[in-house]
Amino acid sequence: MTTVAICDDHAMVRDALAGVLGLYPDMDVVGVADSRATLQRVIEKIHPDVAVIDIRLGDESGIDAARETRAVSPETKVIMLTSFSDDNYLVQAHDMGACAFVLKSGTPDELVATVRSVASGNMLIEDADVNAARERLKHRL
Amino acid sequence: MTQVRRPRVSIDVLSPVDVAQIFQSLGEYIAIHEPVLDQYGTLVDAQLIWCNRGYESVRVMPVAHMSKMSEAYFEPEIAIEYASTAWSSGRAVQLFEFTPEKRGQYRPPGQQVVISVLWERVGDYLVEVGSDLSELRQLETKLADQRTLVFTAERDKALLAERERIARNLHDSVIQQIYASSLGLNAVATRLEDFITEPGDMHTRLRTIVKHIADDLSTLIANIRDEIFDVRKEPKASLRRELEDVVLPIIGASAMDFEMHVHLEELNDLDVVTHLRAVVREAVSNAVRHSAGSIIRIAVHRTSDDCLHLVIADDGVGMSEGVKRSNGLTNIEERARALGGVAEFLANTEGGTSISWKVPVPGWST
Repeated sequence: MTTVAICDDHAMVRDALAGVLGLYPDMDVVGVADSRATLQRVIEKIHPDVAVIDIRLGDESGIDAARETRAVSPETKVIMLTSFSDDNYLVQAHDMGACAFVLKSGTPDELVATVRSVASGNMLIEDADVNAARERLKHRL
Repeated sequence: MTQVRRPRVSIDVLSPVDVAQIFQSLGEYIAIHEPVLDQYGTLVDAQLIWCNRGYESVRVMPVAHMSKMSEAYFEPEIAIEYASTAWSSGRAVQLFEFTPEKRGQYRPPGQQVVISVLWERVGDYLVEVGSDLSELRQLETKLADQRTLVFTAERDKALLAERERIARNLHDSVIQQIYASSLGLNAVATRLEDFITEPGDMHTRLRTIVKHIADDLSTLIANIRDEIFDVRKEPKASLRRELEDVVLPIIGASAMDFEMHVHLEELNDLDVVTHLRAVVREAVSNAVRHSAGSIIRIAVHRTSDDCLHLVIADDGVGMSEGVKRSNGLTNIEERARALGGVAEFLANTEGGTSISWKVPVPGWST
């Protein structure tokens, strides 16, 4: 059984994520948070296997929330969820230690597969993609 | 007081003739004056003892040797004031503009001429050196124009960034809701298996319908995202690259092949390019999801009546009337109408569907 914590500032998305992941017998949604502070309480208390965190939490940064998660619970695998594919986000997520970067334009099946994969220890952010993103950012400056 | 002495600029290494030649060759006008002093040693006038051709050329009246400043200059009191300052303190700088009222006295070398006049005391003489600043003024004007252009470009860039940020925020909210709906529908599709126990067509059909709606929502999210990024896209090296960037991500995830024939090197009308990209994205996305075909053919060319003509054809099952009126295809028609063109959806004789999208390109007809 994979324990999962969800953090998203949009109530509809939070509920839908919990609803979809909760359908699968091998997954247990153990905490749902709408902000960094709430997420940290969940992480400190439960130490879930996986944390699915939106990269933008209203005025807060999902990257910061992920960094705090990794500091409190290094064994928790982090999946960053985002509406936009963005080189800056990708590089920051990688450097902070996230295992996967999932676009909201992907299907729910992809998200479920990603949760299973990172829970079993896979790193889904490719170094080559991150290096390419770094190069693009360098040329943009 | 009227004793004439040679200027000290000729000292040691250069003869007076050499100095005169050097002065003559300079772009500046140069005059050497001998001061006329009052009983207290204050400069009250000056007499010309030497000048170069530049000095002569800017004056309408003939230049007379030993002529006094008070008699020969247009505004002698001003010139004498500068000369007096230079005499007492060593140097004075005057900006002299050839205004229309001075045109009777002076012959300016250009239309708008400002001369910087350096008054310098050299021993017992006063040297007057005039440098034409009109070129500098022109450069300043050009620089000011360029600054204005840079400012305008910076402002436009900031406005574009702000518009993009607002668009992002607005669309982000829509994307969140669509994403949540898509997740919810997926959950419904999965749960149907629990609620519908009878096997067979009903269950399969319901599941297929819900799955299609969920997939359509996912595509919608991707399209919204791509269109936001289209707002700020830099023009690509060629129209073919523009269209490949749109088509490849959609085709790449499918089993369909595609052929593209672009008979135009470039298209500079940003408005037409933006609509064209969106139409290609919409049409290819529809073909991938609904046609069940094996290949998509895309052709773009310029017609004899200066229109851009896009044809996208697939070899799939063709469109039902319901699909023809779908949102995406309505968008394609609206985009054609917005540019004064037309869109048609045709059934191919050998099967599949063709979309013809023809719009005028304003720059081509001039």
